[in-house]
Amino acid sequence: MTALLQIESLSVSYPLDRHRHLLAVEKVSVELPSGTTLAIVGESGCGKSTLARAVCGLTPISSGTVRLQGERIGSPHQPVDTRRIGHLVQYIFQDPFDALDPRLTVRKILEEPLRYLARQLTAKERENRILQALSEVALAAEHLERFPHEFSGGQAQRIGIARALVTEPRLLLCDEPVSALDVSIQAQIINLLLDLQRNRQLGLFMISHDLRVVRHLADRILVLYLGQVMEIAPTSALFGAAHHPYTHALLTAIPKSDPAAERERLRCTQAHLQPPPSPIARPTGCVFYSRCPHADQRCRTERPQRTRINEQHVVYCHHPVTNPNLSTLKSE
Amino acid sequence: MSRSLLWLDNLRLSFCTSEAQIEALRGINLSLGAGERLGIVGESGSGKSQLCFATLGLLPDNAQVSGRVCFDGIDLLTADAQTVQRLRGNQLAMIFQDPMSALNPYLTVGRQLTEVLRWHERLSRRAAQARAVDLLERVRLPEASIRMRAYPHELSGGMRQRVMIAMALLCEPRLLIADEPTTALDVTVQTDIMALLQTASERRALMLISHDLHLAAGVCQRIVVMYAGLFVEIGSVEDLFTRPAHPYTRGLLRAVPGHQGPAREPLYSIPGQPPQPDQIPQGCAFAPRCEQAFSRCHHELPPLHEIRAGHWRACHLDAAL
Repeated sequence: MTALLQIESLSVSYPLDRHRHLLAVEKVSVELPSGTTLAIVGESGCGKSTLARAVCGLTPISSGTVRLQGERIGSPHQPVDTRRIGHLVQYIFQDPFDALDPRLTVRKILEEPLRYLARQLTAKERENRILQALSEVALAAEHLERFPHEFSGGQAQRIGIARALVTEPRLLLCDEPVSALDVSIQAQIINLLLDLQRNRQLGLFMISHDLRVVRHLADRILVLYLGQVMEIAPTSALFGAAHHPYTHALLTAIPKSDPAAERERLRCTQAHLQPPPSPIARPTGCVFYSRCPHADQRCRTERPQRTRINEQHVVYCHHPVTNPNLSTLKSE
Repeated sequence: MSRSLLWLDNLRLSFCTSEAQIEALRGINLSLGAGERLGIVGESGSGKSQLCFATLGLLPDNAQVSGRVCFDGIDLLTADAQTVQRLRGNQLAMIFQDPMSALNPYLTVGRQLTEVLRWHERLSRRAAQARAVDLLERVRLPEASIRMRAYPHELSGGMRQRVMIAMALLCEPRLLIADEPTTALDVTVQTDIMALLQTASERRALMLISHDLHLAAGVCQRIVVMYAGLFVEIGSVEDLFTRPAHPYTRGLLRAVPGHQGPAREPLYSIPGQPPQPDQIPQGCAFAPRCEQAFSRCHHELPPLHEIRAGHWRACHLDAAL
């Protein structure tokens, strides 16, 4: 069976001026089977959002291809046609208030995608789609005539999700869908996404920096650093037996649930983190070289190739480690 | 027990807007000992940031405050502006959430740091310079003396927050207030800044505002849980984590994903949403969302009472539950 989404050797670069380019995403290959969740994790500026934007055509692709349900929808010569595939791929944004037009009522907000992406629908069918989506996100018909500012953050995010659902997509790109929300509301939205996925067999392409959320939602996790894949693994393998030193560093950054363990975790954090190098002047070898505790001469000059740990688990590292005790990032 | 350094007595804060009277703090009582590290946890709109601003007297014109804010015996609400200004920055210092908007983009880091010292301690330019570099090194900013000439936009988010912390520590304050100091930062940097805060708050009192209970627990000794402008539970970190007494605290602890429970199963979530600040329900503000609420909860505001030594909660439920 072909995967819902196949990304092959995808690169995205932004021109800075006439001579220089910023390579935001470099040769990323990953697949997302239907009905499953792939999470992209990494620090800010690592290219997470660029990757998602390239998939849905918001950013042009520099090289590589994107396939949806086996069909090629995007390459450098064939930009992703949002008119054609927009109804299949929808986007959920981080800040719901930024993503909803404050001058439109909820009805207008939900109607708009249908007017552009599902023109064959009659007015009656449109209305049904809207009511259906609204009930799936646990909002009522009475909310239709209200404006975004009349809603709380959690409700506004539900509207954002309903807008993504009306066109009956197969793939949802969720860019930090819960990080702007409070803990008690976060759980509601996570549950909603799980429900929707189950009922509609949706593929979720999820961007998050919160590994606690990712651990709960994702089937597979892709760790991105300076635009390059560091590791791709099933969630349990990533949390149980990560191989890349950078993944270990991300894992040790999760606050512990036990206060004593959390105090100990902070006490052990002695090393000062160097910020990641600038994406404009990237290292020639392994991009993680400057922060890696295991780096040697080879890492500095030679880019690591893909190493398969097993069928599902790949890592890009010259010195994959499984012992998390060695995982603190390099100090100054 | 040490004499309290900060003492809030029935602190109330409301804002007058053209449409409504918004109550941000509805009677806060708190005593913070010298050297004590207190975490204040709550959702957005619970009033935790307003509590900091009220303590520091950083309030807009339409704010109405009543009650008392005593710092080291001086009531900051009635003291004259000069006294408050001398204390603020000197004895009380604040670390803001977003260092990019709290630092002046037009001035170099060095200029902003030395300004504080020259103003509060009347140091010479050279002495202030030396002290600032020393502090930047203490907060482990790499190449501190070079960074003195940098503008905020030339630094990474983590570095900017280090500068903020250094600035707060300049006059060796006795109370440090940190409002969500890591929310704007990456997770990898978050750990680093929290560890730094842990060290920085040795020998001084700390009020740490956070929406993340687990994060606050690593640094603080005591935690206050706020809801709709009131404290609903106060206790030691151990009390709160092993014997959470308020349904809201229990809900918050259970709602955090990734700690317990099988992946991909529905998470526990607190139903409903926090009340709008201009529509706080009568009685217990949490009652509409509380699964254990009974009729009394909807009419009568539960007072904060001690259920065991040092562990307080505001709830009508049987303490034995």
